[in-house]
Amino acid sequence: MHSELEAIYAGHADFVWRTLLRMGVSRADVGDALQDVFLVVHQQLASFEGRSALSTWLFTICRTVATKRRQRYRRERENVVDSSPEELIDLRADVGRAAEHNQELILLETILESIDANQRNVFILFELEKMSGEEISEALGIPLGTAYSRLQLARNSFRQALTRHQAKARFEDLRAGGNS
Amino acid sequence: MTDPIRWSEAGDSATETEQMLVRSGQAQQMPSEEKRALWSQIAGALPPAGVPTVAQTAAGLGSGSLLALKGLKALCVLAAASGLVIAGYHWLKQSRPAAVEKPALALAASLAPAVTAPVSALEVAPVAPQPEALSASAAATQAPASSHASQLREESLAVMAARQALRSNDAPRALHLLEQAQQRFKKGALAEEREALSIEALARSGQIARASTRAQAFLTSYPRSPHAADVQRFITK
Repeated sequence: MHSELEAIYAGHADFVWRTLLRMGVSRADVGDALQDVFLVVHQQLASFEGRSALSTWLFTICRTVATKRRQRYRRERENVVDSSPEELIDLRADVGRAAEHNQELILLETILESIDANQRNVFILFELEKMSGEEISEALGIPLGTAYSRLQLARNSFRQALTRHQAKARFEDLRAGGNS
Repeated sequence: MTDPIRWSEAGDSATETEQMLVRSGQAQQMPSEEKRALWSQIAGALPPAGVPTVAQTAAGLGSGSLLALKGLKALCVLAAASGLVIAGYHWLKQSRPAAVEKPALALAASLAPAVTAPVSALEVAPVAPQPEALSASAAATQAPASSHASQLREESLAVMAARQALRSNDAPRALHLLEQAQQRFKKGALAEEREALSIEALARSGQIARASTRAQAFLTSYPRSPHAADVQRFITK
């Protein structure tokens, strides 16, 4: 059982770590949350029947752990905000910290931030986590057609945001050149 | 319906920049050192070979409600609470901050109803230890605690108590407990955790300037601490 868990950890710890960060778990808490996820995995491994992909299963455990932590965090600050389950899933990562100033990741995050949350989640799971449409449908609890249409909308928004960013960067380059 | 082709695999249909960005997102990894350390902690919380599983222990108790890992976590903390060291000994040897919170999780888990979803195994609630829940079979597998383990256990419990006070919005009590712990465990393994908690407790009790000064000192002493980001928030200058 341990070797099985170790194999899952070796293959999926990065996915779990990224997913927890993207679900709003703070950088300081992500280690604890990750341990919780794998302890649940160990606990429930025997009952995992492989009806869904391993990554989908891990995603649902991450969501449970992240939601609990966020709720606890809110309670601790006496600032309880009622949120719909849909709103609780926000896969934006705090990449500024996690990536330690990796410029590409920061740009990626900036663009993702400009996309509608529901579309963004599908984009992240499909393009970054390489989940299939079926897996995304199951993980987010939405019909497959909805997953595809959100992906298309997210791609369009991503392109527009990237184009805007590039135009702005060109303009700033020109301005810097003109000033020198 | 067939999935569209991913941008990272699409060749001409995605621009070079789009491909580069999604690939950088795909490649984002946790730091390898952190990955190894976390695995050690997880592995340390699992039952060692030859020790009866907690599911068996739970069955012996007739509770029938505990599942393997949840029960194991309970066992670890019950060992700590009763001054005994069982499987949780390996876990207790860890000085990472995550280890500090585990007993609270475990304790809550030991008292929770049957697991129907991952949620119940993760609930955290301030509850009192229940040493009577230890079964004879579990006790038979226990080894005597070393002085180091015993010291760490005591320090861990002291930090837990302070954390619980802070989470209950009793910052003055948390501060008092942390000061006591500082006297008692001057060179303790959990100094970093104690100081991070102290800074938060100072800020919450209105001592903003002191919290800020100590936060700066903390970041100098522990620049790579997992608490660094949280502590940073208390720097006011």
